[in-house]
Amino acid sequence: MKASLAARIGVAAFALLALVVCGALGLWQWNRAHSKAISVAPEPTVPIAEALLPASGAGAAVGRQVSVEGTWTDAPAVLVTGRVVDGTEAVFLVRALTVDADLTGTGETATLPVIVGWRPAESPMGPDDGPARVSLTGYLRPPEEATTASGTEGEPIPDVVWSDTISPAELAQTWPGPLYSAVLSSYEGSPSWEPLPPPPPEEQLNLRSVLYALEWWVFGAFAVFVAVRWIRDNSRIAPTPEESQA
Amino acid sequence: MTESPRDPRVNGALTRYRIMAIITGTFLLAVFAGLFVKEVLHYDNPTFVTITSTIAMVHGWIYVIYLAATIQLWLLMHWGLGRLIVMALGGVVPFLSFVLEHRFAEEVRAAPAGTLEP
Repeated sequence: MKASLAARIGVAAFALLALVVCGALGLWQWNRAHSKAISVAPEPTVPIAEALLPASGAGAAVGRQVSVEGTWTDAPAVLVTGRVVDGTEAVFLVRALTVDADLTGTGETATLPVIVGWRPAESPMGPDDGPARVSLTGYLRPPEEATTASGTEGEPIPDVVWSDTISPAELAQTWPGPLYSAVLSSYEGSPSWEPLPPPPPEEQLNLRSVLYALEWWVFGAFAVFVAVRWIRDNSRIAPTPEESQA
Repeated sequence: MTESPRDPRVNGALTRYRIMAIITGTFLLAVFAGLFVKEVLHYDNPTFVTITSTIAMVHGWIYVIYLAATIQLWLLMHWGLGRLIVMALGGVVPFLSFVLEHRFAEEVRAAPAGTLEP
């Protein structure tokens, strides 16, 4: 049962493709497990400058609880669609907070994206009517990826834009810099927006992503194993039944 | 080489394959039932969603064991690559693993002596 060279090359190429695809999917899940985890770090609340500086990578600051003071800017607020809070379809309000110059750690003001709160998706939307100057505590969430899609659009509201992602990279186009690369989920909410509940235990989700990553890599390993065995077994003349019984 | 009409490992491999085919197939039906209730009937109770996604994850790892059992039987029987792909699909296409398990078990039992490598 000697397979042709073309067949063997084909099987080898297929195995290589499977290895690359499974490896990439595994890596994607692995990164998801490590970057998408939204959970609150056990450390006590610190002033924001001790956790994160403007325009630097969110990295270890994600999940830290911070306090911050500043004023809301006039830059357009963002209504973020496609969210779920306690099983309810929700819209988040994200506003730009100008953090006081003496609190940023750089000596100049910087803009922090803040999730003010949420409302059920079907309720009327509008800007936040809280005071202009606020003192907030909350925890830092990782930035979300920018989307090319324009997202679900609600009805136009003055000084508000609709989006389906909370991406500082995207916000930087309309908000004054320098921008923080993490997003503050505020504990206070506002008179008209409910604060987000504490994040669900994400360890389970995390573990799930790690397990899925490992699973993809096992699939890749299986594909290579099968290909190697098949090529080996089909590269020599198999013994005939008579020979094998002799 | 051996008096035994077949490789003694085949019996064990066949048993493992059959058991895993039945377990995988059953879990797969549970996964699809959960998907149906969630996506078609729009029942998105958080507890239910957690249970269904856990079942899906468990199915994933059972599928890994199923593949391992499948590959071992496939190697011992010297079947073609096409059959391996069909067997692998058994873990993701509802009811397929039950059909395959039944058919291949018959085939292995009927395999003439000496067709299997010692």
